[in-house]
Amino acid sequence: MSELAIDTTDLAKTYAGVRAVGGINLTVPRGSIYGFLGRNGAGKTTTIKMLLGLVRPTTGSARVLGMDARSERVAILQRTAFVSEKKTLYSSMTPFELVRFSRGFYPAWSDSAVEKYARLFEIPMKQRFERLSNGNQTKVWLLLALCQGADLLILDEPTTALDPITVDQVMRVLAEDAPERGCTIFFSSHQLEEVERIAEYAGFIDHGKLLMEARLDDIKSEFRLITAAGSSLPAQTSSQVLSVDVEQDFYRYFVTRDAEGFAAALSRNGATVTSIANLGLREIFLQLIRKER
Amino acid sequence: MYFWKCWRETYVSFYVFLFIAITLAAFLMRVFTMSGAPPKETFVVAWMLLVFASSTLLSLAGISFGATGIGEEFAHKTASFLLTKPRSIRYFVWTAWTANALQFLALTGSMVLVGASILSWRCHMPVTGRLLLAFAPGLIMTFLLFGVTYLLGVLHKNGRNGFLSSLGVVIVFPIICLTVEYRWHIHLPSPADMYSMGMSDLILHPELASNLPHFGPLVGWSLVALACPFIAQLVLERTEV
Repeated sequence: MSELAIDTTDLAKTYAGVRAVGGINLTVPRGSIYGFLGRNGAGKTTTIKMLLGLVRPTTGSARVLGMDARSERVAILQRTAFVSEKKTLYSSMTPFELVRFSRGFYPAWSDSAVEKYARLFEIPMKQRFERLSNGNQTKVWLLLALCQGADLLILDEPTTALDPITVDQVMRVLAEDAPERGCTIFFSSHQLEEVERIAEYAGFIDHGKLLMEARLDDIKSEFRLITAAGSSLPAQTSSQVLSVDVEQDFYRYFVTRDAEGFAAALSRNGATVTSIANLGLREIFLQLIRKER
Repeated sequence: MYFWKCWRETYVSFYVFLFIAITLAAFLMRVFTMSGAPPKETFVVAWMLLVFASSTLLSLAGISFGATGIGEEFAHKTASFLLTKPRSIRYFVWTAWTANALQFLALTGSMVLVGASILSWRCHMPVTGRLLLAFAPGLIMTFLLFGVTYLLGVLHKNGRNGFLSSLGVVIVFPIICLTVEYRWHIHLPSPADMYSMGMSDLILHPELASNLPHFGPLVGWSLVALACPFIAQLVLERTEV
């Protein structure tokens, strides 16, 4: 059995000459929580759709739970739960009827989970879907995904339209309940705080290109922000210096690898290094996107 | 599951059609058997009238039920929900086909049952298998219209547009056939070829009523009716959501 829940090789999708996803190599370990980060239109949804067989890759391949995404679509879907970016469901059905509809497709479906999450998320189970608030519609999607007993949860912007309290509940459920069963969670988001809170792994995508993919702790320890004061300090980017902000005699270097060595070199050039700071995921994300642009 | 969903989407229309079918059958049979004509002629004409009435009603049902297929899932943006269920596209297409086919058979069956009961009672004549076969063209026409509407709904990714296009086909195709026949004396195959006679022929020659429908066109159009959902399946298997 493959150690990877998702494994893509040069996965690419082009629409009428426009590259939506450009040859990405994702590796999502089994049992992990993986945050897939990117701006709107970065290629997150297209990537997810290729994993689920909803969109055919132009080139490259994807393996999901060890199976080929193109030829073993049904077998993958049997073990994969999905929450779509667009939270539309059958408008005239009630959540109760949607449960009734979905239940039969999944052998590992859990009715006790339906009760549990319906209560937890306070979903009005007998109200027509079209009459539910946007937040409740999102909750119904999550409920349907969480009750499937899936080995892999693929969630595309799962917290859209949810209030902070429900976001907190959802994050707790994702962080606690799913890994307990050994379930892998792959979720896309541009809410960096959510990813930082629960994800073990993160991948950054922009303009269809995977900028970085690693364990979240490794990503955080990889980058430093060095603030230095001095005149005529180097202001060029390099493989080590990803970006430089200059304001009068103050320089802010976004540095990867060996920040201490770089700070020492600055000091030797007469700079006063005022701080070497760790960065949050938001800053790292913004700096990486900036560098790409 | 999906069968239940298909039924859920059409059951209101089905009950409306069922009500109309039973009422129409009962009304037509009652009115015709009240005339003073000899029972045999009354029986034959009333029966064929029932056949044409059921053809018309079922064709309407076929076109309207065809608009509720997967095409609508795209229009309502629920396709990504449905098509991430662990089933093949073939399953979705043919389950919908089966669910609708059963409803068409139930509608036909109800009309036959009501009509045959009243006729047997009033005319004291049995309904033979030969007479029952007269319903075959209408039923195949229904499947054909259902299939065409379903396919066009898939191609448009919108059931309503599929319905409108299908109506267009129903109106334009016979006009094309008639025009070609009139101007160039070329007979284009048409679903009307399945019927052994038209309504006007029947009125003039009621003894022809027990003629069997034309076998060749019956088989040919049955294959076309089956090809439509199959093509829809192939299209869907290549469609991106």
